[in-house]
Amino acid sequence: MHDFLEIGGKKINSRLFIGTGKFSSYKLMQEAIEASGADIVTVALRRIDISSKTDNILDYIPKKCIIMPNTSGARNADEAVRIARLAKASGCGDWIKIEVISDNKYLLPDNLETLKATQILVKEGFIVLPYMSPDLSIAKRLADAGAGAVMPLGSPIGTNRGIKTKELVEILINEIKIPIIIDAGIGAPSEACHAMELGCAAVLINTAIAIANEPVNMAEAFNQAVIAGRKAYLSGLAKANKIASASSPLTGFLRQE
Amino acid sequence: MPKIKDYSLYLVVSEEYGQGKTALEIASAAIYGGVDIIQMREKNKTKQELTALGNKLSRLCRENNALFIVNDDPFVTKEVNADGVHLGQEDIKRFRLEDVRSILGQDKIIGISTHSLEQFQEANNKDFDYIAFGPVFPTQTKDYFIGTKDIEEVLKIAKKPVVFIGGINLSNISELLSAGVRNIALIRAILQAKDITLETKKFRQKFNVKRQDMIIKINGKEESIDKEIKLIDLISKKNLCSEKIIIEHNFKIIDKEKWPDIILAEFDNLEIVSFVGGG
Repeated sequence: MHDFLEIGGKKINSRLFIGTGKFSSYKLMQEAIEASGADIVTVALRRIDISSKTDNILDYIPKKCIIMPNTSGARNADEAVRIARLAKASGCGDWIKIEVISDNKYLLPDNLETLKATQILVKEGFIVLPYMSPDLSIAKRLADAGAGAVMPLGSPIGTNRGIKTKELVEILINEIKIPIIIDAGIGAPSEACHAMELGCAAVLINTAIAIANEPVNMAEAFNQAVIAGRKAYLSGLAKANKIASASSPLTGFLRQE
Repeated sequence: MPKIKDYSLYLVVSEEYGQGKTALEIASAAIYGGVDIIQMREKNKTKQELTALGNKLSRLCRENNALFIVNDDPFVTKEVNADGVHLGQEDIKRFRLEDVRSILGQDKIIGISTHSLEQFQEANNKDFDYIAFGPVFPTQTKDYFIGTKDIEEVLKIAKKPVVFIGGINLSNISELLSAGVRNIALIRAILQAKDITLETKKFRQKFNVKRQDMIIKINGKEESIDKEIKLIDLISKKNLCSEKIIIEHNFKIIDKEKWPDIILAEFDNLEIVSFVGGG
């Protein structure tokens, strides 16, 4: 059996998505992406600095990867739509991660503006993956609007605090038909593994890999953790009990007469 | 922060040359004609009168996107919330520049009059935001003039905007513009005109014809570029990697194939973006 994740009609092998921010160099980022096995890679869009020459980040992203630009910097739906259209004009596909943030302290997403942007962009033919706060009714509306997946946060961006929103995310996993992808907050491979065991379709990791002492090794560790967690989920986790149940047979003890 | 933009028309308003018109009448007619900066220079008014007039001019200028500069007095400048103060060579003997700066703060403009290359060089190395240089032609306001021979040198060494002043009129302005002058200050040529708005417009027009460049906004910053340049030529002139960039022209995305068709015009808005690392 081959276990694909399917979004926007594309079959995706790796359930580890990678963000490209905060790496100390594009070269290191490239090696980390290769080690991660990721198929989906996020990038941001910014004004260029006309006076300084920098490399094209796209040259450092393996050709097999799908580029998913984000709309970071957008404070409302209109700005997100503008960024998405600019990103599409680059010619690197029609995937977009919607990120609408008006809160600078916790970087929590604005679900309402995110929904508005999703509705507009889906109609324009984008494959839309919205970053959102795990709220069931918004998730339903995003799915109804045609989002390719919903991406609830585990904890605020860059905090490495793991899946603090677990109970809410579990509700989404149970109730929403489209893939649930944890985006933001995962700091350790064990947390990524846990997300997959819960039934998340994928995880998106950036900071935890980019700022590790050894980003390439950390990328590999996350890859293995995600594969392990997914396998465990598919295999069916044993139920937790309060009372012990012996693993070895309860008959044939030597002490028996 | 307010600053002196290229191709500014700077008008020194003084009721004593106004032939009966009030400073407010002169300023509003001139702003309507296209003046960018108004300086209040009223040598015969009391401080109280200056403050009252200054408040009115300050509001007029703010409402019309013109800059308002007060002559000589940093305290009146602050009190009427003008954009800056203009100091003469005499003033900087009375006030220390550091003191004027601390009265007004970093966000205000401080300008200085210079009347020789030496004075210009000295001012050029100090914390002034613009330098006036002149009189470049004979003028009734001063009993001497320094001529145009130093203009080339002044423009070469200038580290800040230079405003040329002194006896400039519609027939000699072309000489200045050909030499590369970008900002001029006027007094009598406007103040004594029958129709101030019309006269200002004529100066404005001279600027526009002579100019070899234009101002456009690139990524939120105003920049001077060649007049009527094609978008594609601007990209190659700036050495931008066309593979990498995405362009929005006046809020419309322009596909790469269309770049050769776009001719840029004054005050166009360009956004040039590219991908960077992001999560």
